[in-house]
Amino acid sequence: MPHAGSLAPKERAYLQDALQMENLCIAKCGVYADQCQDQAMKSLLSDVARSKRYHANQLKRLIGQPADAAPGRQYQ
Amino acid sequence: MANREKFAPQRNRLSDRDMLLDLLATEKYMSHLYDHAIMEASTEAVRDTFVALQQDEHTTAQMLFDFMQRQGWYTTGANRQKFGRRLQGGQRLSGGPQPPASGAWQPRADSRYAAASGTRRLGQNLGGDGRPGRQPAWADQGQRGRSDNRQGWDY
Repeated sequence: MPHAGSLAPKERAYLQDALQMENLCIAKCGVYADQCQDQAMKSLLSDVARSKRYHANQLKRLIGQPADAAPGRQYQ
Repeated sequence: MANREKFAPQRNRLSDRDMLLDLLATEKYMSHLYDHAIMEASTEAVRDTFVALQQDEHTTAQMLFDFMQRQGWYTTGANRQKFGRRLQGGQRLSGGPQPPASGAWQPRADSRYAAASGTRRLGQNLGGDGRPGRQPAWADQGQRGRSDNRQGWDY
């Protein structure tokens, strides 16, 4: 596992950008799942959110932040 | 009525279709982001992670697309016949102008424009010898000389 110091500045910028977008997507999935009426769509959104949370944790691991163990909704 | 709520939501709410469209657009953006990131990555581990994440984005986008297509919310050319009636039956899936009542695309305006733009002499060099497409338009320009050539581009 690479430690935080070994990242190129560009890589770090891309990782942080991606993490921000993944977090935005998690937030959107949560809001949309609350608003939508369709049960099938709710489960689809929760699937998407789960995958996004996994992505965010992987990105955080590369950046060097501690990953979130508890799968909860997170903003930023 | 439940169906109506899907398409005409309360004020300041997105319809279900708009939510999925937004997520799909986000996926598209993130796929581009990961594509750039893969190209810029210099560490092996980082690049492998980006490749894996982009693959996941593709899978997620496919899931969203499949769901929307099952609902008839996303019509491509291939299945427009199947869902066309449903979409034109008075349901507005999202904002924007309604399609014309006839539903059919009218090519006449564009053809009239092409016919009226004759002053530019578009395509005049294409069928000169009566065998259109036989030679490229610039094939004989070397022999015709510069002045003749310039006349052909008289705007």
